[in-house]
Parts: sequence; structure tokens; C-alpha cells
Amino acid sequence: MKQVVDWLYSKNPELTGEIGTELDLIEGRLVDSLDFLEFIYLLEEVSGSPIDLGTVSVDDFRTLARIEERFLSGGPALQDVSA
Amino acid sequence: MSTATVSVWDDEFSAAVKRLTAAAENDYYNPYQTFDWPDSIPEGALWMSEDLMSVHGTDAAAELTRDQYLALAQWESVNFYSLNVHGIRELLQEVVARIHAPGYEIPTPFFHHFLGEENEHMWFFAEFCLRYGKKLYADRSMAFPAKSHSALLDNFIVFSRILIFEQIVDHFNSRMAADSALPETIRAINRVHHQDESRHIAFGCQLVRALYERLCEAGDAEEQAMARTYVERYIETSIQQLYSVEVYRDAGIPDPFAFRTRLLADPARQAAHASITSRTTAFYQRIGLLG
Ligand SMILES: [Fe+2]
Ligand SMILES: [Fe+2]
Repeated sequence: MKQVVDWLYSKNPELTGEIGTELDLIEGRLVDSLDFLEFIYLLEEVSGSPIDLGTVSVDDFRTLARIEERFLSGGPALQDVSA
Repeated sequence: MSTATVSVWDDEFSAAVKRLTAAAENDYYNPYQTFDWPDSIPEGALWMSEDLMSVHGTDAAAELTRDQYLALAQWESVNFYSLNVHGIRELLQEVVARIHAPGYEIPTPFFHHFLGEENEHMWFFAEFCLRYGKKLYADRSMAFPAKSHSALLDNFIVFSRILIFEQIVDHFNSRMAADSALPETIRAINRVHHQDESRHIAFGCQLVRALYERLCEAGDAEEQAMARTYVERYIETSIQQLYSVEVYRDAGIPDPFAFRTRLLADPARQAAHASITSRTTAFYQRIGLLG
């Protein structure tokens, strides 16, 4: 998770305070569509698993809590959903 | 979906639409009968012009085995056409949402040709990937809800995305069509696409120029700044897409994430990026958006 937070700070240099786990990153414009490729690659690299975009939605990227649950803790997105 | 007012379109734009619509009618062809589609691409052939490969000019290139290098050329070629397929899907949706809608009476005659031709481009790019690569690379983009702005800025962004995408693709197409080191099948799809795209790009330049002039006349400094930031960021994102972890993995490169990071950070790539985006930068400088 530290790498994700560091990445968010690097993308938003004007940001000073802490990024709360329930802060809406999309509403708050900390991450947008143009950053998405770099963001998804970061999550894949940190988690060690590819993310199938057919199985996720915008809401899965909305908060640090959700990102942790969905991508970084061996949640459903990391399992084989091809069946 | 936003609408545009008829007053967006000036005489210069209307004249361009007439000229390009006539050219599209004259150059009409049947893409389904245009290509030979041999059973396979010759063994050991180069699928991508070497100077267009994402490793070109880097130390990392020299560390690859010949097999890895050829595999990289092959998968970067398949990735390039896959990016085309996904980019075309997006631009078709935007143009479909505007054709014959109020405010788009002037560009609509050319929209018909644009939609028809792009559908065909999507077909032959996908056909190439599925025949010879046995797959399309997945779309790795996701649309997040964006901040709302004026219809004019919204249109400027949409048509800038299309124009920048087409200009960058055309940089690759022109080079690969002329590259005698590539098999004829690959040269042909790049050549045919380049021919149609010269009209689309001329149309897009006129469209974006007119929209930007109206945006400046509207006098909202914040929106003009947003337009500039968007274009700069979209160009950067377009470059980043050319460096694919999935491609490096398919080429048998051991740590594809580290490999991608290393290439993007390599100073030798700056000249390549400048060359890929030179037409786009020159255009936005000409209309006064970029300094
Ligand atoms: Fe096209
Ligand atoms: Fe096009």
C-alpha cells in the first residue's frame, strides 16, 4: 500500500495532508482516466497478479480501502475468474 | 453528450468538409477485397520497423537475444494494431453520438465517411491480429467520471483525442508502409490505413482549429488552461501506451515491469518521443495552444 500512496503523492505534488483510506480518489481528482494505465500497472506490479478489466469497475479504484481489499489482499480480482 | 452550435463552423471548415467528402467518395474502395492475407508471416521476419520499437536506441535493446528481439517486434506490432482497434471503438462512439445531432449539420457529411472507413480499419487491424497473433491485446483504459465543463471544451477534448491518436498512428503507418525490411502483408495494412487517415487528419485539424478559436473567443481563461493541460497530458499518455508490460512478457523478457520502467526513463527515448509526437506538437503550436 505504501507504493500506491507514494504514487498518489508523486502525481499530486500539491497534496500535503494524509490520504484517508475512505477518501474518494476519483471525486477528489487524485487519479483520473489519463493516469489509469500507470495506475493499473502499479497495482499489478505490487500485487504480483494481472488485473482483468472485464471483471472490475470504476468503484474498485475509488478509495484506498477498496483498492486494498480488491487488489492487494488476495481478493476476488486476483483469482481466476475465467470460468 | 453535448451539442455544438452551428456558429462553431466557419467558412474554412465548411470548405474543408466539402473537399474531404468529395475525396472520400473518389477514393472509396472495398477493404474486404484489398488484402491477400497469406497463411502466415514468414518465419524470422521483422514485424515492426526497428526504429519504431520501444527499445530503439537503448542499452536494454543490446541485452536482448535475437529471439527475444524478433518476438518483441512481433508483439509490438500486434499491440500497435490492438491499440488501433480499441482507439477506433472509442472514436466511433463519439462520432456516432454526434452525427445528425443538432449543431453538427456541417461536419455530418464527412462523419458518414469517417464512420464507414473507421469500421473497416477496425476490421482489418483486428483481422491481422487474430490471423497472425491469434489474439488482440486487451484494452487497458477505463473512463472515470470527469469534471464537467462547457460543451465547447468537451468537444475540443473529444476531437483532440481523436486527432492526436490518428496523428501518432499515422507516424507509425507512414514509416512501416515504406520500410522494405517488413513483409508485404504488414506494409500493405499500414499503407492502406495511411491513405485514408490523411483525410481524417486534415478533417481533424480543421475541426480542432475551429473549436479552439471559438474557445479562445469565449474568453474563459480557466477553460483555455484546461484545454492546454489536457492536450499535454493526453500526448504523454499516448506515448506511455506504446510501452506494454504484456508485450514484454510475451517477448520472454524476465521482469517486464522493471523493463518498462527502465525504457521510459532512458534518455535515449526522448528523441523518439519527440519524433512520434512532432506533427501533433507542430499543429498545436500553429493554432496557438502550445508555446
Ligand atoms: Fe483509421
Ligand atoms: Fe481515422
